[in-house]
Amino acid sequence: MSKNNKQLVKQLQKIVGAENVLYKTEDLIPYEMDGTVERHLPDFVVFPSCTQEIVEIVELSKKFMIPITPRGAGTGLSGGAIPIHGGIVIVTARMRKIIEIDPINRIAIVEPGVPNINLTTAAASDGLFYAPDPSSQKACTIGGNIAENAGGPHCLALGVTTNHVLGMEIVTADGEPMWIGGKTPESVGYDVRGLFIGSEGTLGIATKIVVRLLPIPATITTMLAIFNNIEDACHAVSSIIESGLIPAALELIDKVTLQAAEAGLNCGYPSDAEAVLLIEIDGLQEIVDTQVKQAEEACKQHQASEIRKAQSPDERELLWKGRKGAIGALGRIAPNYYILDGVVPRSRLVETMLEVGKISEKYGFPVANVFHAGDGNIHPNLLFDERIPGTTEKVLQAGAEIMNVCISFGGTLSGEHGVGYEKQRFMPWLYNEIDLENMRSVRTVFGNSGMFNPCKILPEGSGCGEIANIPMAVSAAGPDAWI
Amino acid sequence: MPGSKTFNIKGKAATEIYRPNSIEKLIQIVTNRDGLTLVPVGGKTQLDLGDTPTGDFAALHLVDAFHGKIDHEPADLTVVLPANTTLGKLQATLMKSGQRLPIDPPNSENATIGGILAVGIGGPLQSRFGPPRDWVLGMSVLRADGELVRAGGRVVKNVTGYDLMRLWCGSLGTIGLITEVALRVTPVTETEDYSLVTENFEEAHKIVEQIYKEDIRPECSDILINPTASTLFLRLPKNVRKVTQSLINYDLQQEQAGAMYLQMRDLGFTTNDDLTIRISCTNSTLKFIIAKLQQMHPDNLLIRPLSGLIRATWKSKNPQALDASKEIPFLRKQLQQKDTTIIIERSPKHLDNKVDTWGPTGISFKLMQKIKNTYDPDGRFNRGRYFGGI
Repeated sequence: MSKNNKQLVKQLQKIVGAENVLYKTEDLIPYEMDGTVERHLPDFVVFPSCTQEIVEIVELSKKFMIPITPRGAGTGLSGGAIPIHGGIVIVTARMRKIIEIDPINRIAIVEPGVPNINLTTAAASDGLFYAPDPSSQKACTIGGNIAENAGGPHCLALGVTTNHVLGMEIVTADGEPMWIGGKTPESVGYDVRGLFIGSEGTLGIATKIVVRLLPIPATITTMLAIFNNIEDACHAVSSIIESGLIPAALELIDKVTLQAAEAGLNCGYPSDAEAVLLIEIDGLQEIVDTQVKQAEEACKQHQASEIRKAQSPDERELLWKGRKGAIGALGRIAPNYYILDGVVPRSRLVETMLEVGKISEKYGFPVANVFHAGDGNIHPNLLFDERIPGTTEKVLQAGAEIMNVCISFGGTLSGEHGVGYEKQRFMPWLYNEIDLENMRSVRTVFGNSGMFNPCKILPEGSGCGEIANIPMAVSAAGPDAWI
Repeated sequence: MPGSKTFNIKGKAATEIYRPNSIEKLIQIVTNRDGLTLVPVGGKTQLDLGDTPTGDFAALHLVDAFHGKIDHEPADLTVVLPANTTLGKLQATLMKSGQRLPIDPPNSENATIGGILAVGIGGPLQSRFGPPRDWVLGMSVLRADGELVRAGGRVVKNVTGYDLMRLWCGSLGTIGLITEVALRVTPVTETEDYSLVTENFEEAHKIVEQIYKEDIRPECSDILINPTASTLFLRLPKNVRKVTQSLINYDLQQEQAGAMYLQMRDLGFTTNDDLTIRISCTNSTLKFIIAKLQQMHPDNLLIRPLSGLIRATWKSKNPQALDASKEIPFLRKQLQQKDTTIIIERSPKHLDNKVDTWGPTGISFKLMQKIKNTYDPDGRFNRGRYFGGI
């Protein structure tokens, strides 16, 4: 270790305590990656316990001119927590206090390292819950959810993280602590809170968060509609929405995923079906009854072969266990899977699925689909084996082609996983240079001179793309895609 | 007035009046170094909001500047439209497919979408559907340097890039002029309007709380208090009257669809020269603040508990208006620790400029100043009218 680094370790230890600084390679390895295929080792990992410690770490990083990468639970799916230029990774794992649950105002104040599910569990005794529910909710943190503006199956009706966060204490990329927003829905002045949410850890770190809590629905009906082909299931989605009904959740699971989920989780899914829709409707019993009928009719109209309803909370939980554990279960049928996140207008779902199928066939990677059909947010999972030389590059190329299909249908690069490192190079497919420069200016406002979570969201030119497979992935989509 | 040769903001006259009829002409005006600050004008429904412009200014009428069509995709529940489209025109288009945009600030039929989003406030529907910014999917904005920039898209879920739409919404046009907007829309559902006269605010508030906890999901739940009565207005989904009555243990009076809703929506914005203030607060401080406000003798108090909003109005003839306006800085001070904000939405001519519209700034104001300096360093747009003199 260089003299400079030794000095930095000492100072980091002084801030957070010796036991909360990692710097040996073997200790750093768990922090080189998140849920994506890319990886890069940090030089140091620190575990602060409070806002002031983060302020001091950021100050130190500025002094030593070393990059910082914030990290929650590391469940992100766009490479947002990968320290591309090494440096310090700040992990919020020790900041996991639920500071307050206030049932009168229906808010909670939490630290960033609180796992998403813990908040809902803690609020349940007051008849409340926290709405955003990413599939990784047992592990992912509220701070990470803010960085990614995370969604989840239930955001179709209830909205994503930004709709449920009222205010935050942050430490800016410049090292300054401050509150943005507060405990009320409206604050005066620019909505800096809204700008910060979804900024993927490039503007600062949230250190305390005020979230809205909602009353637990009066009744919930969860249904599984079974289809003989994926197109019928997609058409049923459109019919449900067009009928004027916005269910609490509307998820599509295809055959490959169903079989993997059933084998791994025994959740009662029909493993011979081509596709199922997992539909959830909640609210007042009188209204739910009518809406359930409406959804059933839409499914039958599109040849649903069977509609099953969860008869008990346990059955409901089992159906959701299959959905939320589906991606993990894919590990049973392939050594690796590449999870994509794209969005298309709901009315283009059928065409998109056909194109995804063609790309899967062209590259020879089986595809497993499980996604938020209600809002057109697709998650094709390409199954592959990284031990075969050249396969990782090829799967990234296939992923890039799928992203390009989404854009050609009027869609976008990410519905909930973020742009991160994975897709920053695709941003010019959507935005011109002035749009990108306009977005880049935001970083200056928060004092990010390029050292705070570098190489994320926006293409940065040289220095962020040495990994060989990235240019190949980009070229796969064709030069015409660059607009 | 259309074609009028004069234009005033709080008694201060515009040096110039611009009315570009194309985006090219608009860009020419914006980039022309005439030394003025430009005050963007849409449907003129919220011009009273904000302080007097700093220095000489020009009124910039945007109603003729954009010529795109309303591009509605009913199957996707999305619409893209030029920012000068009025809300009334948009709703008429959406209604053909049984859909609507659940944004309803005061007097909003003639308000333009760009203006509504630049101001950023909602109406009674906010209790169920959230603030206007929650319905924005994408935006194009003309910057002070004449560049058109874009963020977001037209899909209903999108985390691709920084969420600049949230920055632009509610920014009063101080960092750019909204030119085009992509919005999420929602199916119209059948509802019925009800009212209930209560003893006082506490009783009405208790009912709203109960309705919310029982998951009845009212579209509107506004409480109106005037010197003679407290009235709760509810817009409920169709066919839930019976179950609601049995849950709350009160009889609801059915109202003619729309009339009471409009009263709640437009309160404080119907006659000239009213003093109208908007307060944002937590549920638990409502009672305290209402008691304070009642000591200031407003003509009406509107409380939207599920949005954390109170609107108090003093009619121009109310002799207490002057005293009330003098009280506002003290009230702000008292409520500072309670996460409460008070904004002056409208004020009578004789009170103009006497009370700060926005209230005191906090530490995050530094970021706001940097935002203004980044996107409009010369104060080309609405200089001096926004929070903290931005």
